[in-house]
Amino acid sequence: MRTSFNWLKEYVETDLTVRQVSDRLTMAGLEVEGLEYLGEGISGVVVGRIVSINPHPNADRLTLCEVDNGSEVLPVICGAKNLHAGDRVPLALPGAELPGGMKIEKAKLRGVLSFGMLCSEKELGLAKESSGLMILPEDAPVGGDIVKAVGLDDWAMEINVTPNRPDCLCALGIAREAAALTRSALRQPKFKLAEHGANIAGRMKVTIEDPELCPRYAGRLVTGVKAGPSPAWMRRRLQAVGVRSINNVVDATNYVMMEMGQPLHAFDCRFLAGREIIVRRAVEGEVFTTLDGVERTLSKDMLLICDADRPVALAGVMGGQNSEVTDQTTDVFLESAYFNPSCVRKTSRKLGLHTEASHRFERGADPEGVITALDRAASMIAGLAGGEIAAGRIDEYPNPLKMPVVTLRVARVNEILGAGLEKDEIADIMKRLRIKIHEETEDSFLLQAPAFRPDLTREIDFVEEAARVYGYGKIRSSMPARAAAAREPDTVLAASMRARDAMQDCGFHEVVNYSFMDPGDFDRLGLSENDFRRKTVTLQNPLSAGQSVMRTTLLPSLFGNLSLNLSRGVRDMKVFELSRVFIHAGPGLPNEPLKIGGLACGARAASPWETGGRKADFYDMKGAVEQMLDALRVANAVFAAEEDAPFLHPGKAARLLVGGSPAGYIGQVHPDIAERWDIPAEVCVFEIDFRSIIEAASALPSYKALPRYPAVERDIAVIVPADVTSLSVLKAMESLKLGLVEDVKLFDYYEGAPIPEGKKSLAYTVTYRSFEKTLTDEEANLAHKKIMDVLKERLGAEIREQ
Amino acid sequence: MPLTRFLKKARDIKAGLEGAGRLAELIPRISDELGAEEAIIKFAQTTDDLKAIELELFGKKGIISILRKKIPQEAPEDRKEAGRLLNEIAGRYEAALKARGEELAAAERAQALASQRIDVTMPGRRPGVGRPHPVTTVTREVVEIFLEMGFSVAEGPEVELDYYNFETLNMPKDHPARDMQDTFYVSDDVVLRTHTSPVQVRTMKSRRPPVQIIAPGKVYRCDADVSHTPMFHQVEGLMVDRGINFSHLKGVLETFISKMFGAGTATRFRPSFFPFTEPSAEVDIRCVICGGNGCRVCKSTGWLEILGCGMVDPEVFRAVGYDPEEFTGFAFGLGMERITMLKYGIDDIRLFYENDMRFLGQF
Ligand SMILES: [Zn+2]
Repeated sequence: MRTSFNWLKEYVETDLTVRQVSDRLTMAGLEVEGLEYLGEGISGVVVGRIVSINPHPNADRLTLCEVDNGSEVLPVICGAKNLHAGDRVPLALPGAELPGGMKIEKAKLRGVLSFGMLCSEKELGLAKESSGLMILPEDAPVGGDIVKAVGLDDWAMEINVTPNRPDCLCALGIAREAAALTRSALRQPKFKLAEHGANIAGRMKVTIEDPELCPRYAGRLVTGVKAGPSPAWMRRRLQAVGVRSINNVVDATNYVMMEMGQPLHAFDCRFLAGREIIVRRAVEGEVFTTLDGVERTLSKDMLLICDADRPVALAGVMGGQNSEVTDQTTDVFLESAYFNPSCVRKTSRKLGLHTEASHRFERGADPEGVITALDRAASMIAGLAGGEIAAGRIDEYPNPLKMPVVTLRVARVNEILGAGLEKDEIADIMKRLRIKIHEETEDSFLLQAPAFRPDLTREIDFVEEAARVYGYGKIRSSMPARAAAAREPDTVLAASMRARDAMQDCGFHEVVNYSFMDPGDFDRLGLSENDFRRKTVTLQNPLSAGQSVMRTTLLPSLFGNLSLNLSRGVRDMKVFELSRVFIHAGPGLPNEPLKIGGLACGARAASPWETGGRKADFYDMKGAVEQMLDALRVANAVFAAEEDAPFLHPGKAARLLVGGSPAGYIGQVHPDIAERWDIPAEVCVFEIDFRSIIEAASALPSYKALPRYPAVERDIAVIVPADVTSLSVLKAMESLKLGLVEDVKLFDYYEGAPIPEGKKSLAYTVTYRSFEKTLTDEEANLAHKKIMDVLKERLGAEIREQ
Repeated sequence: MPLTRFLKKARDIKAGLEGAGRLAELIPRISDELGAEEAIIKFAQTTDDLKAIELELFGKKGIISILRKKIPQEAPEDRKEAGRLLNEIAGRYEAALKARGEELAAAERAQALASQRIDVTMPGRRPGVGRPHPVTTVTREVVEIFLEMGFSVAEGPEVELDYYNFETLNMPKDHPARDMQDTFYVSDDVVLRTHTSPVQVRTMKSRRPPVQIIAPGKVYRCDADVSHTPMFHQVEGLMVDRGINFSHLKGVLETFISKMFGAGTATRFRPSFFPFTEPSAEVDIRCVICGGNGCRVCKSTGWLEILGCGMVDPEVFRAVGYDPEEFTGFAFGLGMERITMLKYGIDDIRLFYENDMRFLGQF
């Protein structure tokens, strides 16, 4: 909401500066977000009077004017044509500055010296375009500062009016608030209303068909007006508060709206068939063209203002093209009404049509301010555009609205605030806010808010008023008694912190991506038609098609991160993300599983000289994941070949099984998919369901006594078919259930000569230990023999001699 | 070659020992001929040299051994003196050998170590340090401050019912306050949560007071420009019990601010409006960039808005089945991106979601 400081000062008597008033308003909930001095950038410009106009000796298009600057008469050269001797005009003296930084100096134009420049509105920053010089009113003081003379010695105030305060969407409302806060007197706008001729009663008829949606409808008739441009002061003021000047009739209605908050509408009487207004609901599918020339299809919960034949305005939102006031208008029917806020809001939302009027009506206008605003506007139209105001007014108000009467307990105020407001203090605040005190007991009030405060209907609303005006700053701070609620441990939070730390320790940066994805990404990932990841949550109003569904997998985002970095010349990337994804689950809300995913591309380590510049591969990624699982104490995690991930290299894809159930995948990206996403083929990724791994994580480490007897280590090297996995070797050993085996570690892997084609060599160190006694060599050898036998038997292993 | 000269001399002496005279006279002569211990030391340049010398002296056929074997052949009255003299020179040579031996060993070890020198300025072998996302770091910090004050963490869905996101928070379908939040719709009844406040409602619906929770999480607004991203992070807080009041709200949030931004950070509580709290406030801190003198970041007000808060509206209590006469409480919401930007001096919110490695590596 924009208003101006001078405008406020018309209604509130104050010696405070604009900054002081702004501060008071801000600290009472009307945040002044911006202050702008209207005369900013103008200096050294005065009111000049043109004494004479003579032709320029050397140029046909220029004139040589003698201009009185208040103390002397100076020659000034001018190019404009709209000037006459005696006119008062803005004169920029040598040394003057104009908006935009232009500086004026004495200058010779075609051989003649000019002592300054005469200015147009555009040059003073008052208009975007102007033709000719700005001609000032005849009473402008010659030699006076132009900033004052044209009303630019003023501040535009940008105020953030919260949706609960429709009363502050106008200058008078803010003045009323400022007066209450600074204990100053409020001056209501004064105006004269001269009525002429026959009463409106016989000349216009108003019928409200739906008093629920239109509780009050009032109108006046102004005849014989001459629509035309508004005077400068009006244009200046509307401009200061950000309203475009249209013509004197429309400007008057806008002025009154910006002054009193009541939206008004002026109809050209020529187009009101039957000289009649009917307020009714629209018929479903009814079509109406609004002022902005857009044809709109209406529904039955919208309200229309109609004449005898057809709609002429969309109630509370916008007038119709068919009845708008133009330069040909002579007779005006002026509407001032109160419409149901919820109805206006629905209409405005459905049609996507937000106007100054709808903004005010949907928040709640002042049903009791309808008449004053109507009279004010009629008087202003007659003043600006001439014409006569018909006697009397129409005021249809079948069921007057009443503000509720509410009990406010002094104790409740202090209970909510934790303060010690006295009863008298509260009463004083209520009175300053024009809240009516119907009754007063020892410890409570019976209150009724004025009609312009639709936000005050419950006790808590009045508590807030007390607190707001008293000042939040005056309420002292204190700490609540400790331990109001028992702390609950949060395993997910703790685990997510540990997982992050583990990934970071492996050199992975954390990324955070938008939760959106492109539905086209599923095809680009090669997912089958019935893949669960295609069960998306789809947005009705996405920002773009590429962000139109919620992520079901982190992969596309990670690929996107890689592409961005590659495009910026960053080639080494190890990142992870911990985030929810969203899987559609029938009616109601989707599932929101928490996923941890990662991507590695480029150098394996931070010190490539050492790894010979090797690129990160599957085992680097798997190592990081294992490190994280270990950090979370996930004991029963196993990796097996993954065959159901079409976006992964079929030979380099693993499935993570936790407690036997699939929990995620790790793998190198399928070369076809890499090509499709335009990323390097050796990129490795993983994505794991985070909750399944924390469920499998042991919350408490289980302590085991340290071994008291020494271990015996035996190495074993086996040659097995190349497709025998390391996991199956371990499983074969485990199948023996040898209690003595403490640990099995792979220490060597080899393929190639002299190992026969299609075979590979795996070498393990097996640690044997008993918790009861020192193992003898015979006991260890016996166990080791069993292991060798089972490997031969189950896997066709050939035991290599050391 | 000093060593060969020594060895020759030693052999010469040995050759002359057969049938020589009284040991008491012979021993001092030998020591004179061989030279003092220093000489030996001088000859030995390596531990191998030293071993050769040792062999000539103390070996089975060494000078000292030969002399020792001769003692029983001496006249009985001379034996004692001969033994004493022999022990004396043997001791001297032994000590000298040992000393030189240690010297040489130390020198040789030093040389060997010097030859193993590596370039200590080459980079170390490491996986590299991954950094947390700055918003995560700041959220973690915020959460920890509130955990210390006795709050517990609560969660709720990001795809939320309109009912929880708006209606139970006192924002019916046609409420103008909905304009304050541009909403992503999944259906007429389902939205992407526009704030973390629905977690308040879900938590209260599931249990009786006292309630003291914070809810960090992602929220969504249908808005994207230089200062808005369609997704951002909030931390919501709620405390409900008997006797909780605005003074407590101020106390808790001022404690948070002093821990987050430093003790003595000036703070102001400014009345505002949220449909689900009343009285409501926005909290400003003294601009951390300009110290209150006015700058671009604080739009020359000297203050920075960092959070919204208020006393829980009785309508919200009614919606969750709490009696507003029995219980009171406060709620607050903080925007993590804003606090992160202030903390690190980041000037473009969009950087958080580009995930440029050169950005991520800085935090
Ligand atoms: Zn600042």
